[in-house]
Amino acid sequence: MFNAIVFTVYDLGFIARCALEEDDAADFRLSKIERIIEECKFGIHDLSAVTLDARTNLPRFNMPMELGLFLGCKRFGTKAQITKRCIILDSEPFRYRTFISDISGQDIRSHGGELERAIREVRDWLRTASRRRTLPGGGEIIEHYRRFRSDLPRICLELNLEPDRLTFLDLSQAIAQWLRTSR
Amino acid sequence: MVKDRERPASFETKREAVHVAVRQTKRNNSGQIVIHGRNGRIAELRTYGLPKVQNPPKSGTLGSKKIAKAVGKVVRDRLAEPPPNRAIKSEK
Repeated sequence: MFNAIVFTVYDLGFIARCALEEDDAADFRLSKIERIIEECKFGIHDLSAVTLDARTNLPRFNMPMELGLFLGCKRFGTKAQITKRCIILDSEPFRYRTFISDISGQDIRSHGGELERAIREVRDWLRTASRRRTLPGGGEIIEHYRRFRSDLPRICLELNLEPDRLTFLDLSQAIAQWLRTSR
Repeated sequence: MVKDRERPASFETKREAVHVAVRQTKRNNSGQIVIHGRNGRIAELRTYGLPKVQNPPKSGTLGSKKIAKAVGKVVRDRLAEPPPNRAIKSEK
């Protein structure tokens, strides 16, 4: 799901940012996230990963916290910050009400755990939020992603890597390069 | 050679191929033209009706050149493959 959303962002001509892009261990993780949120006008928050951990029986709550930071920035930030826009994704409609009901009224959409739906939701939202008119359609991006996924194992073979060993930045680089030559 | 996913075609000169590719892409309203040099490397990229793909904020551990080379090779190999067989409907 994460890779599909990152791919969609690049296919639409934007840059995907994520705390995983920082490898400076000396920097606090929260500081990295704060910096990235401050620098981005658009935010995509996928809450579908908020599920109970099998071992601890507790949910991982990083995503909702990052969403809170983004909304706080938008509410209390400078002139540039208050123009921020975000989309909140979840696996099922209204599931969020059971664990984070205060976000009711935000732009919340469900993808049902399906990559294609997530791609279409992100694309449609970014088109409206950015007001850009020359964006590829959802079906087109899905087709691009399907071809990228089929090329990825061979790209990784050339790099002597397994696909799941690609770092976020290397994956982003591969996506951007592939889009430049293949769409 | 002009190769879209549907109809590959060969031309005597690069100029002719580029001309046809531009016309075809403009007719489709959007698309990308990748012009390769004799050495197989990408010589020029043209985008029509699609947003420009931006670079990630920084390079990763592998370096952008190494990734570009790997992606370029895979894409070139794929383009060199024969087009998939398509069923031809009989005309009545």
